[in-house]
Amino acid sequence: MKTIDSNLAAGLVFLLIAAAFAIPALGYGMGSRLRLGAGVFPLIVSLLLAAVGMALVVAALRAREQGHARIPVLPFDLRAMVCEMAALVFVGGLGVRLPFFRMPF
Amino acid sequence: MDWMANLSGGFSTALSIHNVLLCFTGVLLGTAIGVLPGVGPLVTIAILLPLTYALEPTSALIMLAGIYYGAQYGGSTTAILVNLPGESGSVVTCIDGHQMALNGRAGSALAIAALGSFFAGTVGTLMIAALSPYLAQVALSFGPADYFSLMVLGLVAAITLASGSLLKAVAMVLTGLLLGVVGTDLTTGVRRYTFGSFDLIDGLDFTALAMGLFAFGDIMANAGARQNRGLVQEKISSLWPSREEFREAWPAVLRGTGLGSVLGLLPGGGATLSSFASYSIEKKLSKTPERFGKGAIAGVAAPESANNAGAQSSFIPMLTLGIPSNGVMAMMIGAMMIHNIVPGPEVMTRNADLFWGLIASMWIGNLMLVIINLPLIGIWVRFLRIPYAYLFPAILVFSMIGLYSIGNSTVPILMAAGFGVAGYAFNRLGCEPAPLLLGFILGPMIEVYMRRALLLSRGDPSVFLTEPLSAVLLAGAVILLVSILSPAIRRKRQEVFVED
Repeated sequence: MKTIDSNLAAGLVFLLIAAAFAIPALGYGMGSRLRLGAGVFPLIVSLLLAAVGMALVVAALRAREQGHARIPVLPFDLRAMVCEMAALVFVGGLGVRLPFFRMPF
Repeated sequence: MDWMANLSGGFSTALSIHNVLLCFTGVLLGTAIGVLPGVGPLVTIAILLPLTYALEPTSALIMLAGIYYGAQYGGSTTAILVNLPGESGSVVTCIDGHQMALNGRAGSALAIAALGSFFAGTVGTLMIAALSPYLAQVALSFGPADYFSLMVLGLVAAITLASGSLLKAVAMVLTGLLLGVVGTDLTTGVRRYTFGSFDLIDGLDFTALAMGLFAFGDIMANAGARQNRGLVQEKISSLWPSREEFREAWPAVLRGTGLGSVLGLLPGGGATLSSFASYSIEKKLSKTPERFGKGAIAGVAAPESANNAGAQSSFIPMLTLGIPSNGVMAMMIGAMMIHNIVPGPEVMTRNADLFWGLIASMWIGNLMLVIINLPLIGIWVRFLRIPYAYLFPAILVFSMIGLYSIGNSTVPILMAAGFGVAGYAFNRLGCEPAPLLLGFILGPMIEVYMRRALLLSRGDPSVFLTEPLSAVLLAGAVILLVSILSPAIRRKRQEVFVED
């Protein structure tokens, strides 16, 4: 079975998260140095995250070149995941309408 | 002595029937959930957190502290009897504790673990009472720039001392910082990352995040795992350790307590690091090191005391500086903030009752652990046999009720479902979720202090380097980060965390 390197996958996931936070941050306003706008902090942090994500990807690719042993991504137990999510989403979606679901406190 | 008077005042708060009952309930519930195989203290606290929301803040924190001690003790019970550590702090206890159990000495191992923890807890409580006022005094003189740098240092230290891949831990902290940003920005009023949804205006729900990442993610990860490999089947006959065992254990308890109390003060320290370090010290000091790994009682006594002492003293930076040194403390801060208490040096003066009451209840909680749990050990063993097939749905239902009760709304349930998937994905990628929680808690505070520092310096960003204390703290963070990335130390670090 083909395995995916966990460093590579994690790096890509973090790059994606960084992009998802950095792009809206640009629209939140940078303000001035005296009064920082709402976008500054998330932008700085997501740039740092992007750097770490890149580092993970580079490390993974370099390890592949040198033929080091890689730690694969652990397999997903889809059945467990789907069952649990179905339960949560069912209650989350319908719960309000169930009369016994009112908390006494 | 001032703190003596304060402490006795605290005892009068903590000893009210109401609070003692809550502490008792907390310890009992904490142990009951914590003893379940594969459920660590973080998961336990996440599941039980909503129970405390309806209480007034002092009682809520007293109950939470009880839950924490119960969960930790429950974790060691599982470690000794099933060889399944619920958390990284009890990994070491497994080594010798389970061997003792296999040799028919499970009772002694459990008793020594409880008594050692109690002793360590007592010392730790006294230390908190004596040290916290001084530290809080110092902290009151901190400016915003100093706080900013202190939090950065705290995050860096928490990363370096976490187990597992460093880069991934850094990335998880940064992700946590970003998640903490979601919601209305209190300074500018801009709604960040809400995407028009009204449910996100107040930010992501802390309970939903904690429950999703820890409880739900864990359930998915464990659902397919095989259960109860090697549960000790014999009946536990005698709980009282023999005289020889006592003689062997008590120096180990003393050393473990001392080491744990100091290491717990460090950011990122606390239970895990303390237990690992004390085990290797005992092994080095012992005249019969070959017995370690085969059921040496010192190998149970030392890490268990260190574990508890470390857990105790990690409350000091949390209560006085508002800096969580590990995941559990982040959880405590989250719980305090839900009750509108901002941890920091002001807590001691503004909420003196709460502060000293909490400290007194820590000792009461530790005492209860010994009194309740040793006689009840038979019941806990039965808990260990509950199959996952019943256990997980029960946890799920209980968690959903808790999430719903936060605001009589199902939104947190859906949010937690999302975080559950995220937590599971991170788990599969080999990323630990605890650093993310630290970032989530500290993120908003770091941003506030950064802004305040710049405002005070009239927009001059060099303030973080020209303020002497801030400069020292930042330099510390940089040195720590660079040294941990150097190959030699990295190798050493791996050795520390991989015992045998």
